[in-house]
Amino acid sequence: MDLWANIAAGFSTALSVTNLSYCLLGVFLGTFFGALPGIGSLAAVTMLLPITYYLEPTTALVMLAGVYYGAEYGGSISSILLNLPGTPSNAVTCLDGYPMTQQGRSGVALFATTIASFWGGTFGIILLYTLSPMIAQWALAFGPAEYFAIMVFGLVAAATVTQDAPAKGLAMVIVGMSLGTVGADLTTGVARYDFGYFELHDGVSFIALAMGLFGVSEIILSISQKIDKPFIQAVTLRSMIPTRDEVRRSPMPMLRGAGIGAFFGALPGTGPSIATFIGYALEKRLSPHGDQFGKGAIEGLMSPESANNAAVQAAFIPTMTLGIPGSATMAVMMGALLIHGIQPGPQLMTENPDIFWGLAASFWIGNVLLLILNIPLIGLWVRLLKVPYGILYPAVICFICIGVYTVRTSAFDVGLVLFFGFAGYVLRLLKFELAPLLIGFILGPMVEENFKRAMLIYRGDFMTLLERPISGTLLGLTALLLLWSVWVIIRNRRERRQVLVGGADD
Amino acid sequence: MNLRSISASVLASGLAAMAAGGALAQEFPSEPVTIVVPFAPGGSNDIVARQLGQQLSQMWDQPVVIDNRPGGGATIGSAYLAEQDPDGYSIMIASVTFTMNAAVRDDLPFNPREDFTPIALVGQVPLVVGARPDIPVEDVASFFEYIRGSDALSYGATGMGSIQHFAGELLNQAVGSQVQVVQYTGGGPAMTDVMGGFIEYSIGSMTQMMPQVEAGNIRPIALTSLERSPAAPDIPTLNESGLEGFEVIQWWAILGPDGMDEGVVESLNSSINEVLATEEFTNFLANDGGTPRPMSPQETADFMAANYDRWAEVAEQANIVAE
Repeated sequence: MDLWANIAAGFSTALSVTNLSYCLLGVFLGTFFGALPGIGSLAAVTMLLPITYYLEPTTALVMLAGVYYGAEYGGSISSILLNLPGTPSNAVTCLDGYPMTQQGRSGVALFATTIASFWGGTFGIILLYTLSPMIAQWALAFGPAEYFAIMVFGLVAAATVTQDAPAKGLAMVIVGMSLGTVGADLTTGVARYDFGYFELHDGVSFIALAMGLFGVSEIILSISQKIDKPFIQAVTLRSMIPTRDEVRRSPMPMLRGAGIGAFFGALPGTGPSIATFIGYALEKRLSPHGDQFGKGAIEGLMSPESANNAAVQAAFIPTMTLGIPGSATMAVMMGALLIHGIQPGPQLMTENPDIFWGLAASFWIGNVLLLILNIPLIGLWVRLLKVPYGILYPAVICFICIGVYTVRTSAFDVGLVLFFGFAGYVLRLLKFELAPLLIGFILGPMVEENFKRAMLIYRGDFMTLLERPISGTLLGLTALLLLWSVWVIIRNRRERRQVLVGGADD
Repeated sequence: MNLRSISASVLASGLAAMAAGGALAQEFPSEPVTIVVPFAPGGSNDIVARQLGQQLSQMWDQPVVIDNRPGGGATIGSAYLAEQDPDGYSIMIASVTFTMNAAVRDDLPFNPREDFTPIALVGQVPLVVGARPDIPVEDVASFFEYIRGSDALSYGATGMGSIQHFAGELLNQAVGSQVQVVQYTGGGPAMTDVMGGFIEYSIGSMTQMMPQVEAGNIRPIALTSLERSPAAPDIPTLNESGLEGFEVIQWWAILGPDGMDEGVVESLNSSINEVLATEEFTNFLANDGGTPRPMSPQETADFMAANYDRWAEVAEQANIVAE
């Protein structure tokens, strides 16, 4: 099969008037829903799924996929402007995006994330085009032991997302992991910490947790602080131009972010949220400006946004080539194909090449459309800040409730999001970081489940975890990372002491 | 009574029944009907319900609304339906798992046997024992020998008390093997670990398995239905390979709340059976190796009762209990 012929055929499918219009509609709706805090890609795709039953399968998927990556694009907008993550995977974007808004530089932040998102998406698509079958086979080399090792690595790496007080950060990771244990245990069927609520059998809703902690708590905090209209700023083209220093510092985090995103996106069961946290943690460690993170560092935007969108595109690799959905959103999209009697799987590329290549082409077209759509719209988005908070906040709370309700059609989850909103408010007053809580919540159950699986399969032999090449290497790296962290702490202490001693000499 | 009068009375009662059915069928759906799907959109229950709903809607000239109420392993949607008016306008799709849950869990907020009216059976689809591609066996017999001969093997299932778990434990009982169950969050992840060679096999739906079988990623060992499937005539059944009577099938039924009017039940049953008889629906199920299985309301009730009894027995023998 000739790659170029396939690409050409794919583009001619994707550029048909129908598909192009639905692609545009998809990315537009996606950006719109993504920008509304609370309504993430899963809620948006679930809401729009029934519409696509009446479309051709390729068109249906082109549109749904557009909604998916459009939502991840749009999600950064409210993270940056309002400190309210549009989707859970944009939570990290708040950390440095919102400080930039406070400094009157939201135009720069929005421009930077658009570029980073575009690059991340493009990188994911290039991989989808060129290495799909290889990556799919490679993903099969990851069994329970390997997943366990990688999740442990992720936990240790992400523990450093926290800023000043490591103990508080670790405490939040533990709280997150504890929340992750709620629900029926897979192996024994026993409901843990459900307090008699059937709604808790499937665990705490991730969206309710993320939106409560980051969204609702932010609104409560703003109201209690009575900030009125602080950050009105120019929306000229000039206000979007980053400083020369920022331009210089951007490419590497963006490249690394795309790599991290593609890695986690291609591994079924992981996905964008993990990728953004790891991308952020890595940049914080590597950057010479580590101390600026959380205060508006451009690296803190470029890496997670690039990772997010690379992960979204790469997530199509296992879905399309193995027929194994990597996330809940992907599962809904596979359902869209099944409705049309098309079984995603290893034969999809050969039996329905029009779908595979058409979809792949539409991804890139969609990303270009997003780029064209978003840069002129930055001015419009920034004007959002001019909406009086008395109107904006009640609306946002509504959207959050709608989004949370849609995902599991559960009124209980709406109560849960408000509960986590108050919990998040209290934690923030006590100066606890919330990002580590979220990462603990995502990774904790994965560590547990995969550890249990590995122990069952290898009949309780711990050594297997170290003997298997991939998991052994990853666990070794984790140990090195831990040692290095300890060493950094010791070195910093020593430096501080020397400074003090030096001061005494004067 | 002579033969003629018997046939005449049979004919007359038949006509009367048809007339009654006809009258009800005309009256019955005078407003939109809701089918509750106790799972998220995109799963097999959802897809079957949507196909059925679409065809019923055309037949009745009334909208059929699909209402996804996922959560708690179908508990939330089922509890919701049990509380609806038994007027026939709220019905639900239930699968074999519904009868298995009843055997495994003692914390259900409803009584599965008593709080529902069985209306019709929709169809059934066999499961397939799919093994890792490099499993060292030649045929079904040597597969039995292989799993009997080692105590270090594992198989994948989709959670405590899932159909895959029940099928796996039944197989262990029938073969006399001790293959360890390892639970996954879904059929896909379990299958991935089979493909990667981390576990020996999982017993999953043909929908999920067949594409991997065709690509050589999974070795099909046998089907769990009594007869071979037209979708894969080359794959033997466990029933014909020494495990006589071995049957674990996925099926879907339509239930209503308890206390439904018999006429409405009959009317719904005949409408559903009319859909099952269409070529469109048969082809739809055949895509996944499935077949329609029309039954009367009474037959459906008996079928479900038999399932409750059977799974309670298997759960006890294999110690499948949420503890």
